[in-house]
Amino acid sequence: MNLIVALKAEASPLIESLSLSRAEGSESFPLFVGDHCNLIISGVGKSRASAAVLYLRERFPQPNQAWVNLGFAGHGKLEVGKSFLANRVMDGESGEAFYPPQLIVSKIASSSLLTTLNPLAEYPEPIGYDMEASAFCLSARTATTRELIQVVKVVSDNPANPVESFDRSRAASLMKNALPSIHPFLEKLEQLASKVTPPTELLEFIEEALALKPFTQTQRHQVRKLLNQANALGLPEEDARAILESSGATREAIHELDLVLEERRLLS
Amino acid sequence: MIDLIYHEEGVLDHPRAREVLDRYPRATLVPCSHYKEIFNPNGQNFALQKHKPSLILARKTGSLLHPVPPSYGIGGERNFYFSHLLNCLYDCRYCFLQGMFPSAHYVLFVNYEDFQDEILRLTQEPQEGESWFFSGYDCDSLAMEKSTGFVRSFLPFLSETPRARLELRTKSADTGILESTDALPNVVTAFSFTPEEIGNQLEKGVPPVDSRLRAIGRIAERGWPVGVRIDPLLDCIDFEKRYRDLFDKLFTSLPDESLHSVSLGVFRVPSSYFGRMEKLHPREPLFAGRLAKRCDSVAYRREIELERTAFCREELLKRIPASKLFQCETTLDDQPSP
Repeated sequence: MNLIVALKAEASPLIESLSLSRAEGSESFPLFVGDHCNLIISGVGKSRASAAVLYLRERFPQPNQAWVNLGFAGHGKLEVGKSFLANRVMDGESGEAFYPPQLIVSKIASSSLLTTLNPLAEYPEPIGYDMEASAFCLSARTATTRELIQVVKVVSDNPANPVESFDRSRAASLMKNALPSIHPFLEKLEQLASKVTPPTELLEFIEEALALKPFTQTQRHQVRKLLNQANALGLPEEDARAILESSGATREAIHELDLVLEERRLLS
Repeated sequence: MIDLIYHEEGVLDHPRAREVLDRYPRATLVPCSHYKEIFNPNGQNFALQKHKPSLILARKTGSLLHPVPPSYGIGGERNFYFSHLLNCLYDCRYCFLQGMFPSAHYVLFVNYEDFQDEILRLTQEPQEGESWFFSGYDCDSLAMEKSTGFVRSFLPFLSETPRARLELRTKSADTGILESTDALPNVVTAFSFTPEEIGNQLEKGVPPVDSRLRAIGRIAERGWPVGVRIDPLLDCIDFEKRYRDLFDKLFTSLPDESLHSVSLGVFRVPSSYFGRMEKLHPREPLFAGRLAKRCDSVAYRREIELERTAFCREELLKRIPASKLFQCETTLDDQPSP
């Protein structure tokens, strides 16, 4: 999972609760890593958020990971300290809208969110207001499927508590208090991501099998397809490997594997 | 359970949209300019969305009715399909919708009156023979009736428009709306079946065969014409026994006079759809079956398709008159396997 957070004050409670540690060699952005999670402090604004996504994508190019923009937002209606999921993210400049699919049952409220270039002094509608989310959504689309791109915000200001009165020394505690409701969401999102991540064991086995013989490019394509089918049809990997190893020429090996699979191609 | 409803701006003025919202009073409403903003973008994962699809309320514009390919009818001269709803409550692994649509969200077009106007216009054109309208190509016609009120809305219209014939295609056993309404001779409720063993593996959420048979019995008793759709035919072990058993079950309990038609359809999807389906479910044995690329489609190899179809046709003709059996003709030429 990749978390994009604008400010250190927002990030600190997350870094602590997720037991992340500072990564070496990350000069562009402060980067914190853990077993299943990377957190980057992007800085404020759309261009910083976008650059942080692209930086993380380069550094951790695995497909189908979850990407979350987490941080503070103003809100026209919700109370300070309340967290919400963005169900619609609108870009104040381009007018473009993103609709992060809401597949996870969560206790977190959901709300529309408008991303603006500058902080707003007023809250014209009962929606959220931030400065990063639309750029985050636009950039994260290049890295993963839309269901795994989510925006979670914690309300820092609202009409009764306007942004200019926000006490920065309270930022960390505000975020920390919201984490008990946010963590279950992040865990479920991670589970969702695992449903679309190809099993690494199979990918490794296929690469290993391709190295058994000097297959041509076309044959490599055929072998890859047959081994994926073998997996779907329940042929044990050791059997597939034995067939490829024991057959003579590459063509013969492909033919033999196909013959063995033929017997399994009927639905049970 | 629907807890998020997207809606096109302005569509909430429509009384049908209000009815839907009344059914889901706690749902969060999210406005959009056009349903395609949510439904069409690339980079969506149909299989993930199928875990919890949202509902999109929209208004259908442009072309409302589409001609059906010639070999897909059930005896009518003119055949059209229309879609008041995109996507299905059920999750059938062989379904082409997952290859055709980028999103699994349900799109409900609330302006049924426009579909009805178009049906009326077409049935008023000078013509010979029957005009059939098929409502279950891009959805299940009955499964979401409690939310959509589709059948409830169309029955009075069809009662006054006897020249229009409607097929409701379904796998649902919830036939309450038909059981509580006087039967119409121009509305055929067509139930799709695969053998129970196959359904258990591939048809998530679909009621058991026996539940659907009981539903057929109930509406047949009320006088509604019933159709049976053996579609798609799926290659499997014990194929002959499984399909023979299914046919025995189906046709021993169904009164002859209630049976309007039986159709036989093969498994066939456009290659581009199949590629997406395979990618969504890489470990699905169905997609590693005895299939071949034939023209621009993926289907069972020709000899298998012919053999399986011939067997089912022969078995069906032992149980029903030939005049009631309709078969989608095989027109694909063989091409080298991919």
